[in-house]
Amino acid sequence: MRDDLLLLLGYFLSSARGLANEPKSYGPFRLLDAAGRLLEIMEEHGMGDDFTKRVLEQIDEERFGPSHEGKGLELADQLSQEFAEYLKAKGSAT
Amino acid sequence: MDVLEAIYSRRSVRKFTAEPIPDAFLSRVVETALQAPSGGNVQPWAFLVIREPTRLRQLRALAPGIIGKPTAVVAICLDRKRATTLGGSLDEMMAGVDIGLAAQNILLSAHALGLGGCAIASFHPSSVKSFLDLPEGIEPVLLVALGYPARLPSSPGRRDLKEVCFFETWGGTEGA
Repeated sequence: MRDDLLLLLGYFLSSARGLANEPKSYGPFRLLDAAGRLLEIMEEHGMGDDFTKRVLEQIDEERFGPSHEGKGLELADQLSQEFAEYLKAKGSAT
Repeated sequence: MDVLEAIYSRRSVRKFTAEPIPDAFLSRVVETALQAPSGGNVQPWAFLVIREPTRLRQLRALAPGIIGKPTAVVAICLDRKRATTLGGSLDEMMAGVDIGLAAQNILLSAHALGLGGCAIASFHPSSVKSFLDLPEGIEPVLLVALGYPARLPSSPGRRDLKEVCFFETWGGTEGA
């Protein structure tokens, strides 16, 4: 898992530099993609659950669909809300 | 598949199956890049094909634009020495145009062979150059991610012809 996390680190670093010169909409997209990459690592290492699987499916719809559908912000809002509900449901177990 | 069909049905594919691409297909798509028009026939390009899975995973970390997990990446590079010695004062601009034309040939021929692809400019150039051990004067300009499509996106939509194309005079619609 360490190798996977190191590659994710590289993704964060290269994205941080690249975003300065990229369209504004790429910012939310990169973070959603980063979330997708993190969720993939969790799935591959048996750390996922029904919630993380569902989130990954929704992120995949955004990142593998047609370019610039512009639903990234809407999806981020929705997933943030669902995450809050997920935290509440888990209570102190998080 | 004829050329028009290939042009109209090609999509930017970002999700790929794990099935490897035969080397003969990779050679073929790069060969088609060599047939692209080139200003002054300078051909200021060089190509590096990455197929090895570990290197692809590592490259993906330096190239945020590689969204899915391609089974091959063609790095289209600028041969700066060739561009500057043969290309004249328009060398940089023309080299960029030439590389774009070569990339389109790769994408169309890959599509015709049943592959999917996506041209990527979102990568950290100096890191990718270093990771790929590119020699002095060879600069990565575009990465083309390739693989068998796991998902074919619908068309993202295009601007209308009448919005972007005029006849005879700016704003002229005769013939549109």
